[in-house]
Amino acid sequence: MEGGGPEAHSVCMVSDFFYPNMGGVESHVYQLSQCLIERGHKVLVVTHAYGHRKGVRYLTNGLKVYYLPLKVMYNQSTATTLFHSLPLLRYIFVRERVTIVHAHSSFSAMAHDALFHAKTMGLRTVFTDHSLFGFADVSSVLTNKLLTVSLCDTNHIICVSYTSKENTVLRAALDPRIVSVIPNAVDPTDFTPDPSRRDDSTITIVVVSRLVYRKGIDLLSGIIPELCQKYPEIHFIVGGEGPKRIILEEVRERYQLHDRVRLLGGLEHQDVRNVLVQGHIFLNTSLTEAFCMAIVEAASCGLQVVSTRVGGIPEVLPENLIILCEPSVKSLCDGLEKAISQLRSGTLPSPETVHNEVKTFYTWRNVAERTEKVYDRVADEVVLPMKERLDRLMTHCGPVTGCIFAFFAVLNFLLLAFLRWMTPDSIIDVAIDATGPKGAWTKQCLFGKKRRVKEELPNS
Amino acid sequence: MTCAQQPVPGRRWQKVLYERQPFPDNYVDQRFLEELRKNVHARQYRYQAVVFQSGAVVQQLCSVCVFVLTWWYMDAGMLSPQGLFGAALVSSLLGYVLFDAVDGGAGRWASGRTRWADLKSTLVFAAFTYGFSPVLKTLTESISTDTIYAMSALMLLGHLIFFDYGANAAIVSSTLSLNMAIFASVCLASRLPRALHAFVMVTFAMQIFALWPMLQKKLKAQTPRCYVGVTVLFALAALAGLATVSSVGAVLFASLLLAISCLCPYCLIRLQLLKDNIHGPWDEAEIKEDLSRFLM
Amino acid sequence: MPDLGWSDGLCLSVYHHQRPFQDWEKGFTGKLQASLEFPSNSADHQEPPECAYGCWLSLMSLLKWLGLVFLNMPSSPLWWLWSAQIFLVFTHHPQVEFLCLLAGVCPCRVTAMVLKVFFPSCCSSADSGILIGRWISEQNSVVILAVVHFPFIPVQVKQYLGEVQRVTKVSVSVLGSWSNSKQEKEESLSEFLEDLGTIFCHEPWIQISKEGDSKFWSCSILQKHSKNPQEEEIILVYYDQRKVMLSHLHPPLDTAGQRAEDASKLSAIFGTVARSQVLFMTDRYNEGPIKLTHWQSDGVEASIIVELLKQASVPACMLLTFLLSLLSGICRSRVLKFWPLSFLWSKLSTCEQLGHRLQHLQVISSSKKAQNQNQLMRKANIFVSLLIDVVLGILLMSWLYRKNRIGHLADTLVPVADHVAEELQDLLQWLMGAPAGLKMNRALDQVLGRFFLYHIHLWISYIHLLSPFIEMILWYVGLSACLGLTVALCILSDIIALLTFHIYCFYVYGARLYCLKIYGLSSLWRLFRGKKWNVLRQRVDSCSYDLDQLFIGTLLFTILLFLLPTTALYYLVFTLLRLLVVIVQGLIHLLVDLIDSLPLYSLILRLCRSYRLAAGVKFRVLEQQDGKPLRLLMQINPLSYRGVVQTYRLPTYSCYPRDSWASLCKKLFLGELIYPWKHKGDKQN
Repeated sequence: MEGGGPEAHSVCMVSDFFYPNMGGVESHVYQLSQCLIERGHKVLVVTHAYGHRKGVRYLTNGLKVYYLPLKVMYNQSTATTLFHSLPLLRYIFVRERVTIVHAHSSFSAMAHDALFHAKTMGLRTVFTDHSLFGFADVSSVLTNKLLTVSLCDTNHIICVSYTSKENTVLRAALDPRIVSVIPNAVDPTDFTPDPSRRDDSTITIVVVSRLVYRKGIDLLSGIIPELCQKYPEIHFIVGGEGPKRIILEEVRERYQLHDRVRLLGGLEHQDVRNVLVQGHIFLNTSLTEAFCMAIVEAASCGLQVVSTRVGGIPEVLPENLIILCEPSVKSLCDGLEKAISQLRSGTLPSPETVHNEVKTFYTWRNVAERTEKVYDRVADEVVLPMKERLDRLMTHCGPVTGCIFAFFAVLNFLLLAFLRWMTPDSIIDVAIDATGPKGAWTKQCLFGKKRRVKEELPNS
Repeated sequence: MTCAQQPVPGRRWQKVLYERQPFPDNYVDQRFLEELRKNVHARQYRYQAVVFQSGAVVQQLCSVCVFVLTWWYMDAGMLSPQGLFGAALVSSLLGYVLFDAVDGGAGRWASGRTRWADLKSTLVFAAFTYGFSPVLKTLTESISTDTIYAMSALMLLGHLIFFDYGANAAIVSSTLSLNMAIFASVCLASRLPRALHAFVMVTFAMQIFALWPMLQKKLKAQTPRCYVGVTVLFALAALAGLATVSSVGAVLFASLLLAISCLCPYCLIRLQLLKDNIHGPWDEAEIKEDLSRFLM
Repeated sequence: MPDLGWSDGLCLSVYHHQRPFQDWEKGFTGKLQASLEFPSNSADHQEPPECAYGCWLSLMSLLKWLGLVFLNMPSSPLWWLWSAQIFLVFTHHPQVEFLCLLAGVCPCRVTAMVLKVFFPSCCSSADSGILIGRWISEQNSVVILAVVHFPFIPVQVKQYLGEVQRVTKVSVSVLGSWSNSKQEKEESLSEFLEDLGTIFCHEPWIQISKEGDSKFWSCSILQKHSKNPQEEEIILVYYDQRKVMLSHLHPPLDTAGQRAEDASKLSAIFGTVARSQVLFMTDRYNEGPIKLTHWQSDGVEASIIVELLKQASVPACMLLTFLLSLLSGICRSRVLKFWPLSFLWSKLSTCEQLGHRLQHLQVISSSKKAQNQNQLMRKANIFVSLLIDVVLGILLMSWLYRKNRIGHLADTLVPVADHVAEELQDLLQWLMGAPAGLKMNRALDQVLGRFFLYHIHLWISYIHLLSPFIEMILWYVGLSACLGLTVALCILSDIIALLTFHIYCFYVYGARLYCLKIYGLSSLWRLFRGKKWNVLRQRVDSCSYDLDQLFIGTLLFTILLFLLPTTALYYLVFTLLRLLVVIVQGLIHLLVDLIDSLPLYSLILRLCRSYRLAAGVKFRVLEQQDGKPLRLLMQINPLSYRGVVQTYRLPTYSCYPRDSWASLCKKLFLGELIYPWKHKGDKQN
């Protein structure tokens, strides 16, 4: 509750993905912001407009969100020309007195834009990457090149697992010492076990994920008939929606498993826990994951987890809580059989024990504390001046791309100079801090519904 | 700013996220990138084998060349339609017999296609083409010659690009390539003087673009030496024909064939050495088994 | 001015922010409500950061106040004093309160209580007596309906009021006392009046007194049983009883927010006066024990003509109903339902229009009385519209039949039709050549051209066959114009349709040919790429075709592709012609619809008796004196003409094309037939 650390930072989180969209990145940004506010920093979020939701909104604890009216191109990512967002972002950064710009997710074009502009304006930058990428196909090559350009002069990078760190370091050719590993977290109070909800006469296997190729639904379509034939008491509950749903429906149809396989369709975020507690075993068949929050949520609800050994999953849970398998039908079936035999013989720990163990692993407050250390480190660093930035771009990013982006950086700088001449920084008014130690939403201002506001007004 | 890189004595760094380790978050251990592998799936090519495979491309180029030459002769009046029709008929019969003789009837037995069905197909082709040839003749009357040439060239190029040379790439579409070739042949045939010319041209196109590759595929699979011989003969014939029309063209075509059959394999083998594929635990897993068996 | 709010507002207004701050996350809503409830007298009241909404509201109220200032500008210095007072009120009170004050409606969260008294202007010069009316407690307002004069017996008054209440269902009661002393104040009268308060025991008891001819009256309220004795301010609102009684209040179209609340409050007041009509039937020539003063107390209005018409209308309606039922019986008979005839009737717009008018007549002639205002207006509108229509029709007919205009028309009809056909022939010859330099496929061109030319030849011969009979047909058909101008216009539209039938035929041929070609091409294009349309999954799948299928398919594709320009050109030309005809017909239909649906009666009413259609009220501030209650004059704000048309327009039978321009273009491109003028009963295509 006190003003955290030696100094309170003014952080601007930028991402295309935020509320009202629900997902991993969105909840990560929101929870991290809330915990940082608790620690006394000033945080605001910048994202693009969702439908009619344009302008300024306030979330809990005065978290200010700017919904910018930029055009969305594909899958909630904005269409970018790299320059047209500069006036808006510059205005926001100046009036909120932002010191650190923290961008999220490589898929988000706005995040990269914000990093680019922040560096031109001389602000410190931090980037968090949430996903793994390949190297071999054409789209990957291009994306990796853009990422190299974007990250070559970023102050610090955060990845959510060690595998993700290795992947990012290779993709963007970074110095591994400027990459920190800070995992995601899960709110343990949202995912508590409830053994009374499960049917102990059967063994229920729960799968909750988007039904797309990347999540290995094809493997699931092979596991279901094998296991259902071998063990008559197994039931499957599948939650989530996607283009591969039709394959699961075909399997169910072919093997006549209508009473043993339930397809729930799309689930709201608040309904996930109620679905998870109905099961004994959680199955994750993803073909690639940076940090799988789903298995932590499932473990927090007391389920035994069976998962493929891909990406960052081996780092997430200890061996006694998870059974890892190769990404093939046979191996996953073996893993599930092992879990079933453990369940039958009663050697599995009780859901409460599992929950109590898991809730100590990942907490948002710990994430915020570690992120704050990153901010402290970054605040001491020096932002590269223009000349060195251009040098770094041209040497680090390859001859062609480096020169092109160096040119863009120069154009950006000139545009910024023009904007500074048109509307100088001095005439941009300063916003009243919503959060932060001098914030208007701090506790003393919430009293006084009936009393007159006699306390000293915060200085603007 | 720099973090302590030395491990705390007695405590080793572990690649786990659920424990609070006494190392700073940006600590780089010796085991960093230990699972990185390079060029796991690199293949070693042999020069002979690659040259042998490039025969397919050479054959297709020669087919296109022969077709264009035939059209040229017919347009110039040096080749009569009856002559072409007779020659094509004879060679088709020969090829038909050879098709079955090469693998001793195994292929026909496997695909279950009867001779009667083949005969029916042939009659349908002939009737249809003959019936439509007057329409085909007048089809492109109002379009300028340059447009026709450009369109045909584009279509033949597309035919070469989309042809199924035996590689398993996403761009391959044998249907599209055959259709483009027929489209080109119709365009060119409509420029000929009479309906009979058009009919003969289209029939010939069908033979050289649809039936000839089928025969060659079989030959390649069954009798490689024969295949090499046929390819070389075919190429020489095409060059000879081209030489009578334009010597510069012949020289260029010859150099193109040589480049494709000799130079490109060499480049391929040299460039393999420069490959730099990165593999590691971050790769998306490949499903190696055929999962459609669950749905059959 | 709050800094955060303005700058946020500025920042956002630059980027077209439209609905400020509508949804608030938890934790903040309470704070916003708290700040609105907060009547501040201190200058350092911290405004909530985001009150751009409040700023807009204050701007609007300022404009409204300014408007009032300039509309009512008397020269009295007292008035300026009052306006200064209002200005001070504005800067101190929350803005919402000020608006409510101006509208005469009580705001919900104001510290002082305000009582509004609606006093009929006709009772300003009445003798002393007691006031009767209705007390609306939820709005803290009183509507005074009449004054009962001395002498009276309280028991009889209560009986009378009970009867009135039973009949009208309005809770009429004795509200207070009214003293109009022509001389100086009489002390005894005031005590007497207070004693009356105990007899009639109404909470609160209002006492209004007028001295001599002074404009400023003194009002006071007696509250005997009130728990918190508060100083009640009184606002006197004068209203014209007759106008309010006759007026019909139209609710605003947007049913949300403050305006709807105000509207429902107003409708309570209007409803009270309107339903108390029976109270106004007793005038001063009545011999009853009660003597009332209200707007009709000088004598109930009545008119002999209106009474006679009312008496005569009943048998007329019955006769009309009988005739109409006979007519509709004939129309519905089986004879007319045979296929070719029923098809013809459905296509001719004249029959639709006649059916529509028949329906209208049935509505007017029904013997049921209109239940509410809307139905009454509707009947009246239909009647006036019919009347005007028939009058215009008869005028047209008289003009047509004079000077043998019919004959001239018939004489010019056949040459015009010939001329059109010749023009078409020229057009086709042009298409068969090289139109606009485009190169067409000659064979196909010739075939299509000859086919259409043959049709035109048939058409010309048909017209020539009919030419002797045209004058007679026209003469008889022209007679039907006496049924109304709309019928005449429909007949014109039908004649145009008949005359351009060949264009319609050509359009259909061209469109079908083109459509077939387009579908064939798209399907063969899929074959060209090696794909197929999967009907089950509604998507395009790849498919392996046989060799002969591929060959024939590609051949056909090539042929269709090269023949496309020719067909497309013919289709284009005939579609344009057809669209031209459709546009002309459409304009005529638009005119017919206009005449059908215009609510003429309501418009005339709005013109002549504008107080009958009220959208709301406006208040005029009268002269004010210190210490005396605020005096306002309530005037009725009539509905705008646009509102009249929107509320009372009659429904028509044709529905305008639901297709947007985009889907229309798509249909044209694909060659689907378009039917722009659909009738409501038709099946959807």
